[in-house]
Amino acid sequence: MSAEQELSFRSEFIDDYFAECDEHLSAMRRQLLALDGTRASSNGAGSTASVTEELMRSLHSVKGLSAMVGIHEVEQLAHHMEEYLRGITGDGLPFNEDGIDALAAGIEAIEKMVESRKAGSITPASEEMLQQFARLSSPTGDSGNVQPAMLAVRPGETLWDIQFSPNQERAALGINVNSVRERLCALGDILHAAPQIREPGEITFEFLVSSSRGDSEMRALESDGLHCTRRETPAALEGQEKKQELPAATGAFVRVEMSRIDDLMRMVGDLVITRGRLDTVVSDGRLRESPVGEINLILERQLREMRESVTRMRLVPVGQIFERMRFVIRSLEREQRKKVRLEISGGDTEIDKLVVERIFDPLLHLIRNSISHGVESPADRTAAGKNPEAVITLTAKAAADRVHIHIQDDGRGVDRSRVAAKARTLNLLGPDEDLTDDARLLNILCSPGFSTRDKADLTSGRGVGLGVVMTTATQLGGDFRLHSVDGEGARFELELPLTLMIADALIVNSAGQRFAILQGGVNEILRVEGQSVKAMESNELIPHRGGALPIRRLSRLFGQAESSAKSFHVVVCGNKGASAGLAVDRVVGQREIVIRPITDPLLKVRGITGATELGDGRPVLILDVVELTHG
Amino acid sequence: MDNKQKRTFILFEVAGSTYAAPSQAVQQMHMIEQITPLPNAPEFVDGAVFVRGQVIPAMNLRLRFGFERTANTLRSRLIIVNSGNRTVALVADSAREFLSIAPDEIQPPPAAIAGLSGSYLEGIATVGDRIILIIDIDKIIRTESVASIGERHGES
Repeated sequence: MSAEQELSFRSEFIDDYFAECDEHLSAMRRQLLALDGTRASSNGAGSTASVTEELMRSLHSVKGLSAMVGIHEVEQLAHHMEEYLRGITGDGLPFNEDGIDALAAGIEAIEKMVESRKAGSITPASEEMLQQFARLSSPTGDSGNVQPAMLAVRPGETLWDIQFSPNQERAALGINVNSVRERLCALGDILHAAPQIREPGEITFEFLVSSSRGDSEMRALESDGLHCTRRETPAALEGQEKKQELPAATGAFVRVEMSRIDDLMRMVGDLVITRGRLDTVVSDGRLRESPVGEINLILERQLREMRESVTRMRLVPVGQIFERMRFVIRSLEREQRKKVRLEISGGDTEIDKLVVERIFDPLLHLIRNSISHGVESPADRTAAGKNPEAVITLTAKAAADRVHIHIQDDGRGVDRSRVAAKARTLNLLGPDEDLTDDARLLNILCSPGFSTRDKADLTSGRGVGLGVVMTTATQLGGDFRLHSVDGEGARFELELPLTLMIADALIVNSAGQRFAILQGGVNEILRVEGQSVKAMESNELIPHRGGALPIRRLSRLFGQAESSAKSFHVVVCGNKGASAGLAVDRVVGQREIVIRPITDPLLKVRGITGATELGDGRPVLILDVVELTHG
Repeated sequence: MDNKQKRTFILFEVAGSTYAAPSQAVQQMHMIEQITPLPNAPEFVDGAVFVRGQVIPAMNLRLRFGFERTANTLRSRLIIVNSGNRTVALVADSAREFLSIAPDEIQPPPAAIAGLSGSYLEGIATVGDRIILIIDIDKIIRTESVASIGERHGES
């Protein structure tokens, strides 16, 4: 397997590895709990044995899996834990609280290593942790009848790392793995043995040996082509001391299935609706001043806190999908013969797992887009006085209840003249209009069927455009923006809610039907007199902050009866310079709503992102003001 | 007897004809209370309803089958059906009967059957002197056929 093949094999395999590790880790936690239970009741010798077996199998699987993906740190620790357990079952070592604690700490350490590997780096298990299994294997109590099992560094013994690389000459002299193994056995205990492939076609066996023999005896092995290194053993630690150092890790985390949290979330949502009904009743009369009114207010606060803590349970660091982009970039670099370095910041920003899942594809698309359209070839970059290696920066930042994700490249920026030319042929841009406005530029880039690539390459031309990114952002109640500087690079900005499902909304009325508008995107609400509306061609404008604000009437957009009232409300949204207003009969109020997604294709209608319920069992449609007023 | 071979159906009426939906596809039935109109939706979609916390479309079978719309009455029913991973509410003039029909009582729909509903039929059953049109739910709620509905609307 070439290095390249091996890399791609590993990156394909690694997601499966994470998933399988997760399964094994949760199985091991269960098994450990069962072991602890039977140990306490001290009457379940038979079941202890079978659970120990299971735990050993799980550890063995993790060991094997980790070896396959080259995560040797996990492999090593799993190995030591497995051997410790083997010692228990085979040699009848006492199985005590320390053992359980150590195993729990070990499982947690594996989990941490796997997690940190997900995030790109890995911290190996401390030597201490490895050793503790050895110490546990050698009884400190009075039994004294047991052979030490693994890594039992007895007083006066030293650990040796021994490497042996078989070759034909050595084989001719009768030096092969088996003979080496026999000789090592005679010198001490082989604690660990593993084959290592250093270079293609060359295999090296590594042994870890504990021996009381002196240096010279061990070094004598070197004459037969073995490579010996003495391992520094940490100063002898007393068992008591050690026990105190064990991290009190058990019980700090509970694994919960996502669906259970969803259930909880839904129930909280139902509670919010019920509270909303109570609120309607209470605010209708004298009840507001009564104790019921006060309880209603307390209930609101408590529900809000409850909602927040349930929401927090679903938060995961966005860094995990950022890291996955490294693989994407690596393969695109090769494919497009460009050099790109990915810089990540704010990877520990936590957002809703649902949001994370939904933005994976958009993020992937934006990265691809940056590399294939934004980043120049190394030669072009050098010619432009830039570092031949481009930098793409992925940034996440949380502010209030929104998260901002930026994808910045230092490439050539969006080619405005090319986009404009293409847009004119598609009638997306007037012949005299230019494209200096980034919001307009992005809108055109997001139009269905827009692609400036004349020929589809592997990267673009997959039938998904920036439009998908825009749609996802909108559906999630977020925003998508572009900031491009010619010759210096482009920055795509995603602004998303930290959490889904529950949000503050305006309730508006249009032709007798109620609609909800998420407050996140609303800049302000205006009361407008009918006579102040100026008609310009097919547009309507109202004076606003010294300028003119284009408005759209919801009743017209939705083919509803027009109101004859003299004044109406306008909900203003959109960025500076691109804001627009949606005219409704009136804004009825402000509510906390539970957002239910609209998934059925028959209900997919432009300008409607979801539905909610205000306590009467009737769906109230959630409007997307941006989609209704722009484009 | 060959009872086990019989299939059970929910019978409902649309524009004077009796239709049948396989009962295993029917999740529940409701009186029509709250349908939220959905602006700019296909004509045969009356709007959205909540069923078990899910927002689903209410499809008016009169319009789907190419008849004129009539106002809903107390007898009108929402028949909640499942097909694939979708759940859709069908609006029927009335629905009340449950009937077992033996396979030999069901014939394939005649190719010459007139009207739009012909394209959504799985078969025609003759039970005693009644003629019952058995619908194919999947075809009715499938959206690829939405466009052709619009074009063919008014044919009947």
